[in-house]
Amino acid sequence: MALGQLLAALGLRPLGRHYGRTLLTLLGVAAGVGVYIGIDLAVQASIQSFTRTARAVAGPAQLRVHRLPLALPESVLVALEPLEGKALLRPTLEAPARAGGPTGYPFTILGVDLIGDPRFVEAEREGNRRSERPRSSGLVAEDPRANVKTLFDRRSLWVPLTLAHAIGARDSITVVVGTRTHRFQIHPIRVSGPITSAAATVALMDLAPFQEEFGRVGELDWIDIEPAPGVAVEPLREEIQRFLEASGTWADLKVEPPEERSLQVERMLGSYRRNLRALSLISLVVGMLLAYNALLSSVLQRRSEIALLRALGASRGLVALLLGAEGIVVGLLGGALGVLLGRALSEGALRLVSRTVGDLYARSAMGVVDLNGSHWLTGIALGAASAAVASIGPLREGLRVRPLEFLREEHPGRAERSWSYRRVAAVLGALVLALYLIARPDGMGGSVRGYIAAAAALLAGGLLALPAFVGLVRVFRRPLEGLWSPAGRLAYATALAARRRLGVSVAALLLAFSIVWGMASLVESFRVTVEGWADSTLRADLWITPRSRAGSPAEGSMPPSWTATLAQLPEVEDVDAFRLRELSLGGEMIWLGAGNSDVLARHGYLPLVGGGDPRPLLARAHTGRLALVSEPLARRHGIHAGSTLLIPTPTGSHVYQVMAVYRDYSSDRGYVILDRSVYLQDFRDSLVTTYALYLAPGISRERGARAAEAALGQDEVIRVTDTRSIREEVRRVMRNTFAVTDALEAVAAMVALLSVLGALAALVLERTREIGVLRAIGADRRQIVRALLVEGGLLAVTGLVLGALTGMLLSAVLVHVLNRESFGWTIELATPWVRVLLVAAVLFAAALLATLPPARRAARISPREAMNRV
Amino acid sequence: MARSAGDDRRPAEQPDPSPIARLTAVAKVYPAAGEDVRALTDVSLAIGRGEVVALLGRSGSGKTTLLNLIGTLDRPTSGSIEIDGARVESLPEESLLKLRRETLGFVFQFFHLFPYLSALENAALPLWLGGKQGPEVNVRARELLAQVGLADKADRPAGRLSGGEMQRVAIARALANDPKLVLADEPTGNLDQANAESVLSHLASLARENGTALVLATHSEAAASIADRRVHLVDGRIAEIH
Repeated sequence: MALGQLLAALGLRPLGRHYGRTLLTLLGVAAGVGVYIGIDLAVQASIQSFTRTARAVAGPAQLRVHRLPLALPESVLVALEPLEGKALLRPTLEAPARAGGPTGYPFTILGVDLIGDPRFVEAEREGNRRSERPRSSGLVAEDPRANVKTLFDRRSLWVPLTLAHAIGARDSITVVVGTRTHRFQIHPIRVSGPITSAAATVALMDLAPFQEEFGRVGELDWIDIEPAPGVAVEPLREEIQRFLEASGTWADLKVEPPEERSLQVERMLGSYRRNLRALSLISLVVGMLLAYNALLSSVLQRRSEIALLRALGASRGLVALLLGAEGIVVGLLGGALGVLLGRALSEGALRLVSRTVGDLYARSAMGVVDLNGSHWLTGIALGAASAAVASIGPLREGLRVRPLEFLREEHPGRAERSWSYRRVAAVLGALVLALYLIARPDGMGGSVRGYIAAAAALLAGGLLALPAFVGLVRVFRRPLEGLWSPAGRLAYATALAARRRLGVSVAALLLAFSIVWGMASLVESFRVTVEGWADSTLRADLWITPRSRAGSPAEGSMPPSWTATLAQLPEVEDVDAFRLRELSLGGEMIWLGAGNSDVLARHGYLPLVGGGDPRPLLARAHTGRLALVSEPLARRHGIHAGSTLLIPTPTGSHVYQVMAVYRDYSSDRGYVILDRSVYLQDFRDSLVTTYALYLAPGISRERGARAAEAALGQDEVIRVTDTRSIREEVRRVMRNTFAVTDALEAVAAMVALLSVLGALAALVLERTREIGVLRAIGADRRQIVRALLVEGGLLAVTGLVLGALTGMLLSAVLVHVLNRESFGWTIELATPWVRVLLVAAVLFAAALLATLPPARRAARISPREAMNRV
Repeated sequence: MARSAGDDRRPAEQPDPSPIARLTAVAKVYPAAGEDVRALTDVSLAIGRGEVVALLGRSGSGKTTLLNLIGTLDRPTSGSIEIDGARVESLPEESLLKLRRETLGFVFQFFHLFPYLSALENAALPLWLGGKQGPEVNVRARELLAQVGLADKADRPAGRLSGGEMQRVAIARALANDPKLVLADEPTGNLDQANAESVLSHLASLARENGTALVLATHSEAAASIADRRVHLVDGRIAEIH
């Protein structure tokens, strides 16, 4: 059809003709989409590894009865026996373990009823059918039920082949759980069905030997419930709930889908995910600016073609379609390319994200990146949408072309004033909005307030790009003409003529640099605040933790008897036995901590929100059910001194009164802190997560550590660290946390530099005839290169100066609004001057380098060919 | 001052006596910062169907402006212009587009071809814009290229043709839609003498063969020699018609 031919000839063929520009535009769109998809894939994989494992372990079970993180007494199982006709009950226990040693491969040992559980029977049948016994490894798939004696042996560990391969185990293995080392005989098993996806992270034991081996006789962690065929889930759930409530004893037990707890982790990671997504959108915006520039350049270059088409009778609609085709194709291809790029980026991003998730939130297995149809759809839609948005301006420019214009030889572009009332109003509006939200971070809008403030700050900066560029060029007119005439004179004239397009590149550079500035300031603010906080709060001399602890700060525990052993040492003045565990409060996983508040009152310090001396509060913490709450938790739930909390405990739910809210930067999940004596009484749990030692005067840390290790005789399974190491650990966690943001900033900066390269290359292309004339009348190559370099330099200076100003505003937004609403922390604004100035210098040099290829191309233009163009 | 074209050159099978273009007291003023520039003043002219008219004059005499007004690429400041019976100064943009697609053809001094399209595609462009499709489009474009002596270069990109060849492709493009009026602005201005003669002879013979009126803006007396009438413009006014 005629339209098809027109589209093919005039819409798409120019794409191939200007392949450099097309490639640049594609790269811009693909980089933006790629970063978004890559980060999303990584975060999703990391977060969903919890749900995936939970779902895999649960198998066909539809419900889970639990009181997590507290254990259930085994008698619940007996109480639920009347349900047996309607459902299969699967009692389960779990223990986080490390293979080989305290820092070995992390996995989970599940205690399940291997005989009564049909999952493993099915699994073995499946394995037998396939006859996939690996010959080389020497592993033999066995039926867990085959040998009853082996099954009930507390030294038998049933390990899926995938895990066996991962930990390199053949016959036996040493496993560390908490501070204890266990030795097991390996029995490789083959699994199939849903549990396969957890096969690299889960090993099995029968319930009874598990309880015996890990000292948990009479306890269960949860009971999975698989409804019998024909039994509906919801009525069954209601029946169990009623049954438990009626019992009186079990009223606080939860009956939920098995993945509910993992979903809680997902919800907990919501802010983290949202922030990373928002940050990855920046790359999309910078990519969009690049695409805008390239498409505008295409339109400007094709002005005479467009005018001619209009003269020949093409309607505006047809022109829009022809010009839009370029954007649509670039968007679709860029989107698809972005998905592939995102898949490639996601592996690296996953490592960074998983490390952070593990450090800050929960023990996390590395997830599996799963690229599916929805990612393709999202990527292609994002690519198309960003190209469509980027096309709007160029398209309007194209539609303004009048039929007569092709008769003129100049390519003027639309003259645009750098200042207009609308622009002034928009800049002022955005500025006022950003400042208002910084001054009033709490209020209507909740979680989007920070994003609105950040967008307003970036918008104000972006709108200033063009007038600032024009202003700077005018300010530099005389020096340019004086120092580099005629290159300076030439640069001045051409920079003003091409101000609109160069202004867009200024905006791209500005955006990238302001993000770098903002994020660097956020990280520095965290560093300064957290280190100050650590200095004032981490006052113990030594810390004893299980060596196996790698992810969650609550992982692994130590016996309470060590308190006395340590307290008897002459080198030790005081011991604080601190217990940390997860607590489900209002459907949210938070930390519950319990320490010796009298020790803390004597030696430590707890900075209270609103100031004040914490010692009188700490001194009376043991007098009743009193609690201290950390700032993020308090902010999230509107908790303040005097509030009450209803906390489920093994001895029933109790009400605790909040004494005060204190500053804490170690977790945005938040803490409820009790005195250890109150905790022991209510939770009946005497284990210790961390021992904090305060040494006697004059005792060095080295001597204290040696004495503690000698007294405990556990140097293989415990780690004795000093406060300096703890602070280093805090820094490491921060570095990990922000590693992914560093990567995102780098991508945004690279795309911005591509934009500079694209804009100047396009200008050179458009000015071929002009440059040819200059060459013909005597301009030498050096003058042409220098003029382009001056333009690139002016562009970079404007982008960086304005980027710094916007970055300052953005950092205030990130610190005072976004951080506060996402994590609930109060931090002080600090700027890492050396770092941002170094980045500015690198970006300036890179922008000049990006100017070189177009400048050299310009210098090579032959005057004869330039003037003989069609 | 204006005079109707003589009917002697109109083909006998076209009895329509009305002119293809009629300009009555047309003026064109370009606003400028200091004083407005009067490009055309009180121009009245009728162009008969199938007639070849040469517009002669120095640079700045108003030839191109007059051609642009007849071609509906610009609107007059005052006066009226009728093309094929339609008053164009009040026509909406879409109707002007239709008129340009179906009634008018253009040839320009700088060819204005799409260099990355083949000669054939350039010639077929007005047909595509007119919504025509199918093999007959290519047949028509090839036929026109053959008429201008470029049958063997139909598939070559326009950017790789010589100046004379490019102008012949432009003539093929101008005639693709069987226009009733072809407007040519200095069609030989960018060509050497040999090419100029070849292009002019193609233009005149094709116009006459197709019964198409041709308005040729030129400052060359040699080029004007192919015309039935010559209209001399001086400072935006018609000074002489002969």
